[in-house]
Amino acid sequence: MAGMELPGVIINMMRGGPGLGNIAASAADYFQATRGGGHGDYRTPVLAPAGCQELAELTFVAFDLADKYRNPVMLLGDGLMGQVMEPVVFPDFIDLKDLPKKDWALNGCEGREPRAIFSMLLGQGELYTHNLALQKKFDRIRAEEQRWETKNADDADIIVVAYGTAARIAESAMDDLRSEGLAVGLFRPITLWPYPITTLRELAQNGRKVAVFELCLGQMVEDVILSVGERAEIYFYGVPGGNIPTPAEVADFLRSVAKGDGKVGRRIEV
Amino acid sequence: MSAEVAYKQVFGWPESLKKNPTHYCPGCGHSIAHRLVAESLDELGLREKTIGVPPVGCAVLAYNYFNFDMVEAPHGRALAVATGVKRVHPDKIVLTYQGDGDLAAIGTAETIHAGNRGERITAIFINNAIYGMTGGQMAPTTVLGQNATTAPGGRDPRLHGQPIDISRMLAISNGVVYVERCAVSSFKHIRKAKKAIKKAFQCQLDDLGFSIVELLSPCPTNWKMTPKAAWSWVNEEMVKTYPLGVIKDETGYEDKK
Repeated sequence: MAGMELPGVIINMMRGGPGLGNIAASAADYFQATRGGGHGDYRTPVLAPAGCQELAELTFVAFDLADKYRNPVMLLGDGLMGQVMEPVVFPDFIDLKDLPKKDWALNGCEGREPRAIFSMLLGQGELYTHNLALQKKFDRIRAEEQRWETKNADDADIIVVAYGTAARIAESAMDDLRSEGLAVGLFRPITLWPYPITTLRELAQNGRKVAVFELCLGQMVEDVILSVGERAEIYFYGVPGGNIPTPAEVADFLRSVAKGDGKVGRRIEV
Repeated sequence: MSAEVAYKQVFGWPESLKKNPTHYCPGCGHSIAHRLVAESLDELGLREKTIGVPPVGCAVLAYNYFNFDMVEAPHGRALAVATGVKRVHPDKIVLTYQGDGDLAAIGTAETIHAGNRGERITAIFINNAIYGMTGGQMAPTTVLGQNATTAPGGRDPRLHGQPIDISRMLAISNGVVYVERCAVSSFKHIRKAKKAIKKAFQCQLDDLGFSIVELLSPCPTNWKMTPKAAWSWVNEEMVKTYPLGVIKDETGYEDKK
């Protein structure tokens, strides 16, 4: 699809793995979603909702992005979002006229030359040129489509980085710790690719600590390392196998980060 | 008095076929099958209404030859892609053009289910009992005793399993309306094949259900035969495993003689 530049939306509600694993909520498909998929030099924009309302909203966004860039787009939720019920208000429909015209689509060649949609490019240099053109598109997506949310980041001493269900748990933990007087802020990437690297980099300064919480044993943390580098201390806490920690457990992690005692989670050496 | 001569064109290049030389080997059945498909669409006036899906295999570049809209599918997925196309464009004629490695091996699930669902699609199934493009490996359709690079002593049923007759498997599905097996290895067979292909498209035009025409087709290169010997092998050996004729016909059409 990426090679043929066909729009499409792929929905992955992550379950526990590897293999058949279980059907509980997990975030262990981060690598597969943001790095993997098919073969070849291509990228897939990945949108990570943190609940049913956002799942509905980002579904609209995903279809529009797919049409705009003629590329597959992934919605990355998890087994929790796939199985719970929450009230949802649907966003307004956009005017379809605002989307690019599909002058590539197949609808029978009446009154025009026949079209072919294919990704096999055997001629000398054809695939090379095609890849360079695709890369320009991915550069544009990287520059224009980063989405994220921050909460209480301005005065925070610790920035929790989490997405999806993990971000909701982290937010509850943050609220509890704020009432204890611990200045915790939240950085929630909404696009996992393109990852909001610059925003996170700017947050990770002035001696702030960066605490990463994932529903797996450490995948998004690699993008955090790429964003933050040596600018701030990075801590990680992850839970595998479809187990969902309570806000209290995440709060324990954040207290441990504040103290630097290493009791919950671990310090990432960059 | 000048003699008036009235000329009537009796043969020409089908409009549904581009004027590109094909890359097929000498003696290969693909060019004949392409032409039969193109002639049939022309005669039914369907070229501008047609969307085709080529296979992965020797005919993967069929969009260079067919002069209508075409979309490539990954290995074996032609009927799945065609299902999507037909659902979006129910008023168009949607065909897949697939080899045995594509339709009867990696794409078996897609084939059986598209047929069983009764998708209003026409599959043109080229069976040459071997993997052509990849160099002559055994296919599920390879007949018993036939040599292949991966069955060097000939196909042995205990070791390599039995050849698959997917057309007959499809025929037991209720959604499948028309199944005929033809060949492109003699003039008589070619004429019959043309009739079958046209009928299959008519079946789709009339919204009756899934139609498939299997064409036994020579592969001289991988059979390691001359084109002439390959034609004879289809007519004398291959038909023993895959007998020619109508396998299922629920179209209700009366055959014109």
